[in-house]
Amino acid sequence: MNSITDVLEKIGQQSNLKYSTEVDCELQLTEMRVPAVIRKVLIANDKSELAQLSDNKKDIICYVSAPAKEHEMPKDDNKPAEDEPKQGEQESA
Amino acid sequence: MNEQQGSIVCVGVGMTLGSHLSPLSRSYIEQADVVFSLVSDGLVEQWIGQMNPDVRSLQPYYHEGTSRLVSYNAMVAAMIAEVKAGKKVVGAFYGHPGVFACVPHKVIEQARALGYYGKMEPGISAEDCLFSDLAIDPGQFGCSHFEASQFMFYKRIIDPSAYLILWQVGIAGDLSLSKFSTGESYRQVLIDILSLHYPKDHQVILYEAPTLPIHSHRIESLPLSSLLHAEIHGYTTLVIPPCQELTRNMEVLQRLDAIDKDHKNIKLV
Repeated sequence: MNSITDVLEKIGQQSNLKYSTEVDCELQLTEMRVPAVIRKVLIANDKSELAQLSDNKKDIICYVSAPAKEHEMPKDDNKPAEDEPKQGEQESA
Repeated sequence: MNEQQGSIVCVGVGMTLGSHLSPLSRSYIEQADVVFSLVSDGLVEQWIGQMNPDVRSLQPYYHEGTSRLVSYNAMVAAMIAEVKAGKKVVGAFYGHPGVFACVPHKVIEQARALGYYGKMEPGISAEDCLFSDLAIDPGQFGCSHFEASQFMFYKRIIDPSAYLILWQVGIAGDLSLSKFSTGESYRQVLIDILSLHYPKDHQVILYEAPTLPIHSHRIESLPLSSLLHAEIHGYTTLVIPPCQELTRNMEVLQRLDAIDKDHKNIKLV
């Protein structure tokens, strides 16, 4: 098992690893035949080292929602429409 | 309407790599002719990439300075083009594909309108993780969810006796929909809106679900006023616990009581 994502998938499915101490975790990762270099990074929980090891340098954007439909979005240089609330006029419920 | 060859199924891969993907969703990914992925971590993207020989990331459609609505439409168009080519298309989205995600809804709607098969397969959402990690039962006091910018752009009815959860708070107030983050001046407007309903020292929570199984969640409690300088990412969610007790609706309770009494009298008769 060499791929980092393979290792992470396995870890994600192992409930016993959730209870483990650092020593137990190291032992279990060894039993899973995880290479020492990956073991070290996983146990240290080093995000940047993990990204380097996996050749994962992308900045991920994860917005998939919009506050309104296209035709409902404010237009004209992104300024609110005249009937929309101006700053400081938000009503309390 | 007879369904044409070509289909779209949008699946949720959950929040945490390895832990949340259902066997059925995995099967959809593995059996697809082409998979489009939109996830919240580069390693999760790599992981999905190993499940099918033709996995295409939707990340290149994002461009800072371009409205996300343009990006979303382009994503939908790319997927529909493959459906029209007669392929079995799968959209693999992080969390639940139908929760605070317009692209999966849109692509399924368009495919169905064109006579193709379209389906959504649920996944474990950030909302699900939030309820577990924060030990919140949305049924206890009630719970409202809003996209943070929508919450700011429109006049909403806020109930301070229920939980209020704001999503995409990292880009709260972005009218252009083209920013990848908004700054303190935008956030101050949000704080001002919230301050009409909650005390400024009211404890709010910044929450982030773990994307990798070696990470833990982020739960940071802070006063509402401290939100201004808080560390907020694209995947951070703002949770505002109730600040008021539930108030009994005496008029309704009296009406219900009267109905109960009537029913008892009918039985006696």
